Parts: sequence; structure tokens; C-alpha cells
Amino acid sequence: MTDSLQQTIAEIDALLERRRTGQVRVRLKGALAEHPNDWRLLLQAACVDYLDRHFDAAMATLQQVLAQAPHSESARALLFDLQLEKNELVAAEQVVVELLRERPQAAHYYARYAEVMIRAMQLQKARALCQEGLKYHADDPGCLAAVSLCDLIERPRGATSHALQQLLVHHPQWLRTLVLVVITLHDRGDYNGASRIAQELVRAQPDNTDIVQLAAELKATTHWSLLPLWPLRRWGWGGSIALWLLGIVAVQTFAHSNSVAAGILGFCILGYALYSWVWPPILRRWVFRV
Amino acid sequence: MTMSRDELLRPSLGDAVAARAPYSVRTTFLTAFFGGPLAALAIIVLNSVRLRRWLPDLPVLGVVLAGFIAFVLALYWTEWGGGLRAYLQAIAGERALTYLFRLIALGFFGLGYALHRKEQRSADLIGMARPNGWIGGIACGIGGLIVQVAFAQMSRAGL
Repeated sequence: MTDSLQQTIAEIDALLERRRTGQVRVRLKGALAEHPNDWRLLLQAACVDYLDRHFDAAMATLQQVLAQAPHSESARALLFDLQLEKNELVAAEQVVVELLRERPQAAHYYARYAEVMIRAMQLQKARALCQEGLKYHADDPGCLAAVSLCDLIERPRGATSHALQQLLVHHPQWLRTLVLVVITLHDRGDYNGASRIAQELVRAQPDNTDIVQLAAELKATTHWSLLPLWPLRRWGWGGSIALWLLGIVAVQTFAHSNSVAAGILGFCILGYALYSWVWPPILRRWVFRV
Repeated sequence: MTMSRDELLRPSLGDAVAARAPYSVRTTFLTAFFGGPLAALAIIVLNSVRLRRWLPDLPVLGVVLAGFIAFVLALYWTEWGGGLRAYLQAIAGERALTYLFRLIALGFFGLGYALHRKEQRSADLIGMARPNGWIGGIACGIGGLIVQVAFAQMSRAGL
């Protein structure tokens, strides 16, 4: 490999790290015109497609890379990422297990394997994998984030997560830490706090569609027109059932003494139920457009 | 839970198809509310199948279904059932039994939520693609209502 090619690859790597995909594409176009079969450049091309969420194009390029360099760790790590995005969990598990057998002390691979297990809803194994990973790197962000996610799934809403506290101490600026904080605040009923952090995340990463969607949903949740839905948000489906029961009891009570009042009450309850089903999704769509 | 490294690095998913996202809590609630107890059980069973956990759920759901059938039979065939119907109609009017079955359906929804709470939460947090609730919900709702009406008619006729 020539010095100039090596330098080009290093520069593109630096751009990829900063997610400057537009600049990467320009640099790659020139470099690939000179070295069309260089697997390192092809791997960078697959990476940039992955970052821009062109998963099929990324996979096609990655197959060329793996044909030339089947043992490349970076190529196999990207293959794992793509399989996870496509929800091909069985294939992703095989790839990450191979990577872990080669590097049994790499905490971040335990975290990635835990992600597969969380998606397959095997939370016990996910926790055990993170426990193992944290033995080698006590504050590995991936392992801590995976444990935090398991805590969010398994524990009662709003419960304190030690792993999330550790994440906040060691990786307070990391995007996933902040997303987990937003979810925790939302679970605790602090919708305004969750929405404020989500707005900050959008300012930091305006191109991230997942973050924009999360922020828009939270903004819709905190809209003044949803204030009457507070009891349903506070008590969830139990609140809906209680409202229905109360409605029946109230209507039946009035039905014997004052049928007009019972009719009006019945219409009010029906109207409230319709508003609770119809208005939030409309508002969410409207907020997305704005 | 402690696992050796060998156990940890043994693939868990094999060739089996991984669990798929269940019908959402909203779909399950609306199916139970409008479709009745059998529709509620039907959509919970569908969720169990999608989650690949129908085996652990089978005993619970089997007992609940058997209990519900026994209750409906008792309601129409026994003296106790006749008394209960008369009592309910006296306090809640002609629609008392409709309310009762809807309440039972919501109880089944609660059971389904308790059985699949973690899976529902996982699906929400991971952002798994949910199945189309309209198709599953309406199919379970209509199917459940038809079976329930037929069963009630047969019970009333003493078949």
C-alpha cells in the first residue's frame, strides 16, 4: 500500500469518525477511481452507506470486502451492525460470538451481543453478558447502556438504575446516556424535563431521525391541549378501565332519577374517550410537520 | 444469574425463529373492550405465539378459558346463575350482562398485560415493528363475538 493511499484512508477514517458523510463520499470517489479494488476503501464506502442508512448498498459493498479480507475485524463488526439493523438476529449472533472468541476480553463486543439478546427478549443472558464485559472494562458505555435498558424493561417504571447512574458519571455527554435519561424522566412523569433534554439532543444532532422523532413525540405529549388526558397518562390503562367503570356507575345512578342528566353524562364520557383516542395521534402528526 | 464464559459464548438463538413484536397494548385493550372475553383471550394467545412463549402461557390461559366456559355455563344453566343474572339486571338494567362480560374481558386484558409486560416494554423501547393491529384486532374481535353469541345461544337453549 502506497504512503499516499495510506494517508487518504487515515483522513477518510477521521471524517467517518466525525460522521461527515458528504465529505467522505467526495474523498472516496477520487480514491476509488484510482484504487477500485482496494478493500480498505471499499470498507469505508460500506461504512458511509451504513451511516447514511443505505443498508442494502452497504451490504453489497461489504460482501466485496469480505471476499478479499474475510478475517478483517472491522468488516465483520460492520457486518454485525448491518445484520442487527436488518433484524437478522441469528446471523448477527454468530458473527459476534466469533468476534468474542477471538477477543474474549473486548467489553464492547459483550455489549453488542447483549443488544442481540435484548432484541431476542433474552434479558437474563443480556445481563450476564454485560456482567462479563464489565469485568474487563468497569465503565464500558455499551455494557452500562445495555444494563440500563434491561433495568428500564424489567423494573417498575421510574425505578432507579445503578447502571444509568454510572453512565451519567462516566459518559454524561454520550447520546445513548441522554436518550436513556429522557426515557427515565418520561417514565417518572416528568414530561417537560424529558422534552427539554430531547430538544437539546435535536440541536446537537439535527440529522438524527430517531432523535427528531423522539423529541416530536415528547413535544406533543407536553402540549396544552392534552392536559385533560392527565389522569389517563398518570394511571395508564388502569385509568381507562376505571373511567369506563365510573361512567357506567354514574350513568346507571342518574338513569333512575334523571334520564336527561344520564344522557348528557353518557355523551360527555363518550366524547372524552373519543378525544383521548383521536386527538393525540393527530397532534403528533401535526407536530412532526412543524 | 452467573454463567461461565463457555455458556455465554454458546449461541442461544440457533435456527429457531426469534420472537416477534406482540400486538400493542392499545390493540389488545381495544380488542378486549369491543370483542369481549374470548376476543381478549384470542389476541393474548396470538401474542404468546408471536413471542414464542406459548408453552409457559398455555397452563394459565387454559385455566382461564376453562374457568370462563364454566362460568358462562353456570350463568345460564344453574339456579345460582339465574339468581346472579336477576341481581345484576336489577342493579344495572338490561345491559348488565354486557357490562359483566366487558369487565371480564378487561380482566383478561390485565392478565395478558401481566404475562407480557416485559416483552411489551422491550418492543416499545427497542422500537420493534408491531404487526397491523387492525387486521389482528378485528379478526379476534369478530371471531370472539361470534363464538360468544353462539355459545350463549346454545347455553340458553340448553344444548
